[in-house]
Amino acid sequence: MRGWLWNSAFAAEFTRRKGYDVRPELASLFAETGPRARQGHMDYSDVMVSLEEKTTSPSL
Amino acid sequence: MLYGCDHGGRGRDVTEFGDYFRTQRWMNGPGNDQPGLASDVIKEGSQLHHASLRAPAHVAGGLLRQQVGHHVGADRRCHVAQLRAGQNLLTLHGLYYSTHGGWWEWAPPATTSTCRIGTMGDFLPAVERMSYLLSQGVHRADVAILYPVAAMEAAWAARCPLMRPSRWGAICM
Repeated sequence: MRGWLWNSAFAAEFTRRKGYDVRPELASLFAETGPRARQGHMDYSDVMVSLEEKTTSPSL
Repeated sequence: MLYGCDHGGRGRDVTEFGDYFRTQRWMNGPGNDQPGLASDVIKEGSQLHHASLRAPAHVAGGLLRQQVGHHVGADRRCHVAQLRAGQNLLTLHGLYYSTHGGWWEWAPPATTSTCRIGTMGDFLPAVERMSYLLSQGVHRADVAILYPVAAMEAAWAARCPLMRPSRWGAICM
């Protein structure tokens, strides 16, 4: 598991978990885009790892 | 058994994933692939093992897969350093072969295409003895995990003078 992972379900799952649309924030994964960049970056990582945990440990 | 493998930078970048340990905390064998002949990344796996209070220490611990292309002599030197860092379980790269979907061409059960396990001499028995010894007793440590995620993320900004680009994003050094 590495890199900026993405699939067709990620955006919807992100919105469900974080309450906002990640797509306008994607640039923050690659550059400093403003005061919201760090939050978007950390939220992205949190959702990605949460989905990985859900996959490897379905009981969670 | 769930064992750790290549989670991004294998814990070297503490800001990757937000929290690297989350990628491995549910695994029986936290650990990672051996990056070349480095011996500086096994600590995260052994820390997670010790902190998780899993009784059968021989089950978990720093899990390492030996990579294809290494010679036994070089691996021996590398493993001694990793044992000191907390590794107590070794799996050869050929473990892939026994997993669902694995195949021999991807993961021959040896370190090189010409060095079969049977030619590894006393290397594997030595690792077996050390792994057994290091999995015995009760581990006592004043600090189970030292992983300064919050401190690193606090400096995570374009203004950070120590920030440098990496293959997977940005790393503050």
